[in-house]
Amino acid sequence: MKKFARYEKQILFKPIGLEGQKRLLKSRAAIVGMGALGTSIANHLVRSGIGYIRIIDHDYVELTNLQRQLLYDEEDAEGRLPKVFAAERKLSKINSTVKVEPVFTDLNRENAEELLAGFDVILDGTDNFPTRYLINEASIKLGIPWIYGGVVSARGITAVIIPGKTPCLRCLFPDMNNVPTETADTAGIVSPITAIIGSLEATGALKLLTGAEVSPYLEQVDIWSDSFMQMDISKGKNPDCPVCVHHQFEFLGS
Amino acid sequence: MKVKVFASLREICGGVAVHVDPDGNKIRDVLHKMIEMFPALEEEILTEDRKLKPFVHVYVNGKNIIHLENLDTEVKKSDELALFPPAAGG
Repeated sequence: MKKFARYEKQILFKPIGLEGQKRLLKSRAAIVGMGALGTSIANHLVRSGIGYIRIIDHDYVELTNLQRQLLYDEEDAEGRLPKVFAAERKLSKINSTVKVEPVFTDLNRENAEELLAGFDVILDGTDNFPTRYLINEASIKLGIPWIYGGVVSARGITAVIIPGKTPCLRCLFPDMNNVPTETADTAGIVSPITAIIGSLEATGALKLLTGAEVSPYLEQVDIWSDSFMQMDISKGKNPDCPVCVHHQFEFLGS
Repeated sequence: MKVKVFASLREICGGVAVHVDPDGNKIRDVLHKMIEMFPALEEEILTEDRKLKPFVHVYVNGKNIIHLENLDTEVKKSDELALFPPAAGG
């Protein structure tokens, strides 16, 4: 029972309990992007005892990341460490009993299926729609649920996407591939919104992995104007969706 | 009719929920009335040829109107409309 000791408080939470904890320890999660969202998500999943977590990113830690990317420190920035290795080092100190696998690459059409196959859930820490469309197609093709999250300024958005059950990202946002969008580089960002959306994504994963009912809402939060918006997307599927209905994988190229 | 707005559109409309009494029963009538109420919306959501800007999405009961009849989609008073550009950063 010693291996459950660190999860005592989470096991006391009835909807998870010992059975849920056992399921989490046997689960595999992939996180794409280890910026502000990815570090927040990884922090929760590692502490919660998700047994195997693959983290994927091709970027290096910089000083301007430290304002919000909570697994990195000044040493990582001075050494310009790849984010996945800096994160893995920190995460293994937080919980050495789960496996964190760093993969130092961007997610692209050549590697997406291979890197995401065999996982129980995929979490979105990316900062652009083309990569999200790639995750979306891999999710549908491989039958793996994924959790969309996006942040900018003081606002964020998240939704759980389950193949065969919910609308997919292309149903919700059919054509964002070449549309310029605001990011932290153009519109700035405050740290707490990334922790809030990352935490909601992590919550979605915990619920999925323990078999709980997941949120039917696309959630939006703006913490500077104290605004919240929920939209029920359970009837949002495009009956003619190229991805989740016709299985045409334009971004994966297959 | 209740329309939920978010991001820059919420700022223009002064809140998340806007009550709109359109002069017709199509989405374009709802948007037209909203622009009458909040003139700054026009530049934010419409192109010069009066189409939706590509990052602005309109939903009826959670379904993107692109999959319905677009701006000609007919709506009832009981329908829930939403209008927003999604956040993309991470």
